[in-house]
Amino acid sequence: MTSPISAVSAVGGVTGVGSITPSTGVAATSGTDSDFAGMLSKGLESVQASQTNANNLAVQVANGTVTDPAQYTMAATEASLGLQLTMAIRNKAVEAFQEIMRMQA
Amino acid sequence: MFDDLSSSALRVAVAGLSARQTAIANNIANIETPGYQARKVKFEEALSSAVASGRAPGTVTPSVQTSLEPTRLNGSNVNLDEETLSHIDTTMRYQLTLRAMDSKYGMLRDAIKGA
Amino acid sequence: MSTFNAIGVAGTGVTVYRKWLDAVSDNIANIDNVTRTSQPAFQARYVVAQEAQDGNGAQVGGIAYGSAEGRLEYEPDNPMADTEGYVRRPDIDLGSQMAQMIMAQRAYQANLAVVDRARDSYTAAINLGKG
Repeated sequence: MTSPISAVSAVGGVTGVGSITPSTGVAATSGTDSDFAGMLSKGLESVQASQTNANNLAVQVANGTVTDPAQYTMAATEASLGLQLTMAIRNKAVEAFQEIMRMQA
Repeated sequence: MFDDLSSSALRVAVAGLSARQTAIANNIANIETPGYQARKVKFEEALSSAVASGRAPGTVTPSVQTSLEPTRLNGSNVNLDEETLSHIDTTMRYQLTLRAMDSKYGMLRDAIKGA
Repeated sequence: MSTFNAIGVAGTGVTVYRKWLDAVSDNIANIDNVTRTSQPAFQARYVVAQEAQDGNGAQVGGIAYGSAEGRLEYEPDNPMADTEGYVRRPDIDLGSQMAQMIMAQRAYQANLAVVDRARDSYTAAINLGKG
């Protein structure tokens, strides 16, 4: 035996949506060390400094006043390797970027 | 491009050391020649003063002077010990100078290849 | 020679011991030098070695001379003998001069060995990081 359908109660009114609180800015990533462009520019500065150091020692090699030949060869090796390392990092970054751009196409 | 201070200074050093090697070979060959005056090549002081006063190192040329050593009994004033040690020093400085130029060329080459 | 300092320092040693060898050979060459009693005998030469003034190695400080009196020898047949038959000979002992020659030669060779080994070390420094 079915019971009679009770009356549908009225739907309650829609309450207004509360206003959106303005979001606080996203906290910036700490310093320039952790961001890639900053890291690359620091790398280039240190390559520049090591090249200048190697050049100064090269002048001392030329006029015979360098105190120890190993000082010069170490400075030259560090300058050369520093440059190669910075270029390798930059090239890898460019490759990765191009890879991502390709994925979007 | 190859005119920066260190490249010019190294070029002067290569010329000077090479001239010194020749002078030493001449001195040792004439060690028993009566009346022979040992030859010395000088360029380091001129180069240092050019660099310190900001002049271009390219203006420095190696100069050949006669040695002030006393003349020995056979009429020549060549001091064999000094020439031998100077030869060792000159040879190694020549190697070091060439290594320096090589290092500069190498960095430029790396920059060209990596671009 | 300040780039390869060890070679420069050993070089000063080579010079000092070469001068010592020269002095000893001078003494030995003159060991039978006869003079009249009215004149001084040949004086042995001694090289005074000292530390270099700039602190790099050794130098010859000067030459010291041995006794001018020498030894009086009785040689009446010698044309240079005086009225009593004496001549002067230098007061140089051959044995001691030979011993000094050996010491000077060993020291000379030791300094050349330093030059050799220093050259190897500096060559390694020049070739550092190549290739």
